[in-house]
Amino acid sequence: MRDQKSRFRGYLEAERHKLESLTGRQKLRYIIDYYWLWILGIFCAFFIFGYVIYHAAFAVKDFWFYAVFANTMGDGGNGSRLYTDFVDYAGFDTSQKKVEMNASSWFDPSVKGGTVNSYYQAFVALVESGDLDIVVMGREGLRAVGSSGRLLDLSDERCSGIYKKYSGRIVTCEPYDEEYSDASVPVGIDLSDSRLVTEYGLYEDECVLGISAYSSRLDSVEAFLDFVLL
Amino acid sequence: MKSAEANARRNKILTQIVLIIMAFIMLVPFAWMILTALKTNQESISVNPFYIFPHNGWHWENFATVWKSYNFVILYKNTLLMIFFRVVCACLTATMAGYAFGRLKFPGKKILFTMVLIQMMVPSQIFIIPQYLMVSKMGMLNTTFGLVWPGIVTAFGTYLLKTGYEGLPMDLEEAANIDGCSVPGRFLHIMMPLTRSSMVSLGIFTAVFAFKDLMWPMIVCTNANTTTLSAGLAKMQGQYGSEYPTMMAAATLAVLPMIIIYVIFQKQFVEGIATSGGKL
Amino acid sequence: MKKHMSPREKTEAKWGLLFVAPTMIGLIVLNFYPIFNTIYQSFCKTGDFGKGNTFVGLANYQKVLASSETWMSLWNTIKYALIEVPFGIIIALLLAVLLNKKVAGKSVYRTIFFLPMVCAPAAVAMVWKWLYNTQFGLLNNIFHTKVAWISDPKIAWISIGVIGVWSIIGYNMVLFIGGLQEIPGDYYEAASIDGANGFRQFISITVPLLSPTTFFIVQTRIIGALTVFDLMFMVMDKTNVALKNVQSIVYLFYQYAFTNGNKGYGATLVMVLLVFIMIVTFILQQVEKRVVYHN
Repeated sequence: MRDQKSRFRGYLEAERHKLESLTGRQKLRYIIDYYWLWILGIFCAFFIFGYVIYHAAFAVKDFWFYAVFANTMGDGGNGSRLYTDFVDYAGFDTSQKKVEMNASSWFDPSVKGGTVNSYYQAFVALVESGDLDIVVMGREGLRAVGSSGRLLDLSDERCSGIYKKYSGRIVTCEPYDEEYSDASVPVGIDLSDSRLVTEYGLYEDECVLGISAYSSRLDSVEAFLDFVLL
Repeated sequence: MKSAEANARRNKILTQIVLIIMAFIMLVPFAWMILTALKTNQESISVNPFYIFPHNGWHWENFATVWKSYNFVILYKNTLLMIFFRVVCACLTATMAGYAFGRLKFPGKKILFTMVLIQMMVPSQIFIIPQYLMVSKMGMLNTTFGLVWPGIVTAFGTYLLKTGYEGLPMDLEEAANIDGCSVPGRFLHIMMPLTRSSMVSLGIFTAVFAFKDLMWPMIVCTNANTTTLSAGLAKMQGQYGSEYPTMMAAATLAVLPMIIIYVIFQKQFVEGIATSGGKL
Repeated sequence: MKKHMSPREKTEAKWGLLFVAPTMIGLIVLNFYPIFNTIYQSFCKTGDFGKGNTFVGLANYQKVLASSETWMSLWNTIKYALIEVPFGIIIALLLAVLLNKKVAGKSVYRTIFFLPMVCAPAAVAMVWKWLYNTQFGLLNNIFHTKVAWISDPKIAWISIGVIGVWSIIGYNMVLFIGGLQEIPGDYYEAASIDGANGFRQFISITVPLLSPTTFFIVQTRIIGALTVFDLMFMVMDKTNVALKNVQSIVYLFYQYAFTNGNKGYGATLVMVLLVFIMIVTFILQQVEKRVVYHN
């Protein structure tokens, strides 16, 4: 250990001598030649640490509500009219938690091979991480998503309020996993006559809403349903 | 003497022929991409295989349309930032680990290296969800850090540089060792400069993979202002799914910075260690 | 064990661990946590519709190993690797060697061979579909044949392998060029003075000195080919009858884990694949000790 330290000191000494013998320009040249990677590394480390600390301290991490509007040509993303109207309606304070609406996602799991794309993978990641609350898409697509068990069973007691309130709009699907249930499972709420179609023009005719199986913000979902069916 | 010269000449011509044929094969999709970008939509989906060139005029305005409808400056900036940080992080961590695996003896080396290999053996899809959760819990969604996060270390690069370090002659380091040069001194001043070619390869690979990565930016950066070229343009693919000329014009514009990066990078391939070894 | 180390070995071990630490910590956080998660899942039945997972022990393994689908897709993957790995490497090596000499337009060629790596996947897919089309395709037009390149189960895997080779040449070439550049130039000079011609130089200098790089490419490409995922779907329609004969094991995993939402079964497939690749890798490492030249 001692040996190591003195060796290091010797190395520093030698470097200092080397540098002293050089002129200013040569010094710079020497340092860049031999230490560019270290300089870059230290710069990067500082940048990354600063960033992480800054964000960990100040960034808004939690969500009020996270929605994916799949296969839409309309404008339903962050900052759109739908977004601001809904935030106003629900009275969410976006400086505390985030509201996220993602309208750039295109996939159709109801056709064979329709799930082999990045949008679908991104969607699955959002569902299974628990960040996503709802997905809105066409009827067949939603039923196919429902079959994989990624949507909430609406007859579950967790969302009995929603189930009772919108019992006339239920869309069902047959699960792939026969052990879960032989009968069809209610997973979607038909929003074909909602303001998503009539006022915001996100979809042309039909659209169905499904709740993510891992969503923990069912009151926000209920607020959204009330809002679009106002 | 004359026959030797003729021989060399024949070799040169043969080389050129092989290279030209291969270059042609490799260029086809790229040429197709540019040519499609110049066609009308009707032409682009025509089934006749020999309508390769646009025959209703060359529609350069497709590029202008795409350029106007997307904020390319921001997309370029985000992409280049992500590529820059990923390349720096990957080169830095991989060169250190590669040197240790290739040149040093330490306990647990075999197990640790097996872990590096295992990372490459599993399909990358299983990493997405946990990695997304980490970024989300750190509040790093829609940031450059979020984009860089999965690329800060690289198993592939570690293995690549380990190979590079192993390939260097043993006596180089031995001499320095006798001179009393410390491990980091040996690493920095002798060994690392000699593996510059491997580092350049790693840089190119990291840049290409970062550029092509579609799904990660799509998940972590949902705002148009923070996303990268590939994800930003994928949105266009969704919107104009059947409009090939627009899509291809966008793809061509997206590839340009990558080609520039590659040209700069490949100039850095050093010509053998005979020259760079002279520094010693 | 540590006690028997000399001070020099001790410092070396210390620095070694310090140098690998960033990479290993990163890998553990980013990759090994998900991998252990996957191992755990392979012993579970995935709870659908928001119900939790239930532990089922080895039931998934029994199902996966008994399914003919698993072995079929594993065999498809091996067939694909048998085409992609050798041809991709040989062609790339040839190109890299040619481009390492003094050739007119060297950097132009290098850039051209790099282009497929960054070309838009949609354009690549369109070109190959156009080449392979049974009625209008270029291949059938040139050879005046009516071969169903991608829908005949007997040849579809070869057609897919060709696409794989084409798209991997650039990658391999970049690696080979990197390896070639690290061979000291004076070796060749010495050989030229001794009167060795190009081919002799290639056999006696390039091949042995490039063998670590070659082995690296072989190893990583075998892993890469065995984990191939969506190449097939670039050109094949979803209704293609030959699909069953080309789908890879990672695609099967994707079908179960992502499309059907049966993560437990999918995780088990990943484990089977992992064990298989580890066996192959182990054999390769044994071969390496005999074949690869170390100075």
